[in-house]
Amino acid sequence: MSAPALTTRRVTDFVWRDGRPWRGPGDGRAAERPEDAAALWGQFALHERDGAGGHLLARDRLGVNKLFFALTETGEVDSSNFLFDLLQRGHRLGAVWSVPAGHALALAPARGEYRLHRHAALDYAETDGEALVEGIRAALVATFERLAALLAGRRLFVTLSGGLDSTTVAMLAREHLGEFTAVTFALEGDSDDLRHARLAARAAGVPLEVVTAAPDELAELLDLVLLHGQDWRDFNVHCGLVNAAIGRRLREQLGPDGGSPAPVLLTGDSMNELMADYHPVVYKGVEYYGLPRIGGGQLRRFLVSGLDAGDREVGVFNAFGLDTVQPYALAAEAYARVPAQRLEDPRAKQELVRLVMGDRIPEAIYARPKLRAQVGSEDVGGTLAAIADRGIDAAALRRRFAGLLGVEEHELGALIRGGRYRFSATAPWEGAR
Amino acid sequence: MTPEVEAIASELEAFLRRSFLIPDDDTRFTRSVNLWDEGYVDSAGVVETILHLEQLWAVRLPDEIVFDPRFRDVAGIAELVAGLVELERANGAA
Repeated sequence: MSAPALTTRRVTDFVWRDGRPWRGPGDGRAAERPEDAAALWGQFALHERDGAGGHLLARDRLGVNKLFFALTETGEVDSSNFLFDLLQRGHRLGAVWSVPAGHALALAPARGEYRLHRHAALDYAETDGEALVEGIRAALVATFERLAALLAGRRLFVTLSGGLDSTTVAMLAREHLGEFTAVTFALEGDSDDLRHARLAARAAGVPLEVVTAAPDELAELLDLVLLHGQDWRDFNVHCGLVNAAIGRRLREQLGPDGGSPAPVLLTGDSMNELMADYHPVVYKGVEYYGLPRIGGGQLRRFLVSGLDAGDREVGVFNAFGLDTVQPYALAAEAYARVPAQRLEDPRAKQELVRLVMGDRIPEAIYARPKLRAQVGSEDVGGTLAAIADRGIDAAALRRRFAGLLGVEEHELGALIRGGRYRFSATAPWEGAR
Repeated sequence: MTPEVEAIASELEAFLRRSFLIPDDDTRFTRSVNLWDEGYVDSAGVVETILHLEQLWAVRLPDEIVFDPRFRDVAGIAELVAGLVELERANGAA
């Protein structure tokens, strides 16, 4: 089985404005000024033109959809969801910039205009007790009700690892969105993930599609994941490989067209960032998924802002013609209010989900130790082992990523830093041309 | 180099050596070595460094500072932080 070809299909925006879905230019401009982007809710990376040489680029609050731009020789603004797309069009890496998460950018190169404005930011003001739980419930309901309107008529899938995050999404999707197919990944044979995914699917009353892949098949997907996942860091690459295997299977089943409009996958991603629920993993004496050594509240801010860089979900599924929605990112404002002190408690998430979801989640899933989907079982294995055992370590991923982009490896140091893609608060074009 | 920049650079150098286990006899590690290109500090380490500088010097480092061309070596970072400290003082005095 060969690896799929690269695609530069535009990533679908899911936008809500003025109390209803905004479906594109037919509904008027989403925003005329950077400040207007504050009225937008959703998952988006917009590039709008005013017809007079002015451009407005805007990206959603957490930066789920990616947005890069560069200037052409004639001063036009060229943009794409994908870095490799702009490089293929002839731009140099050093002349490509991103729009940071939660920002809108007004630019008109001919007029020398460049104005970057933060239109959305998470408020980390702490709340606790019933107010916190009610706030999360309300945010999730509002999110799924809006999704019900935005996704009406679309074929739906929910990725289900058998953990708390994805099971919650599956249960809420069943309540608010109706029928869907759950889809889970297993590297080979049975696994703890698979058993719990079956349990969660049964509880939701939905069919479960099990995607299996051999380690060699995953390795075949590596280049695609590096380019569409727009990152070389192990935690994103390993997760992206799981998603690529799922995406490839769904694409095979759906056929080359896959239906129009494209099917939509809902995922449980972003929750671990919002609850600072990540830990390094040691495999054969090597530490993977390293984190800054800082406290829970500060770590959460770093992880959430770090969603700016890396495209392991939306970008990777997009390569297979599938749209992706991350409901937790859309309900992030409620989770940002979880007190920092709570984040230090390893059972904080289980307790919070229990308060929010109650007995809608099977007890066995509450009781289960946390696992990363790409690790797969309590004994480290899964995608991490499949890749690491092939000698593909952090240095190899970085080297391969640079090679695929056709850039020098040292240039990557200026592409992602502190979890963000390179951006500029002031006009960068004079120095970048 | 002003005394303030020197003080920040000196402390930052010590912090990096301590936090990222850079041996005293590593002759490549100087105040002008590119911390990212040479692998002394990774993406997670940037965050630790920023938080350390913010806490120690009581300044807020703006998000975009990590992409400032000077934010690549000890000397450049010290200059940037000294500028922010001075700005903070001026704002406090105003």
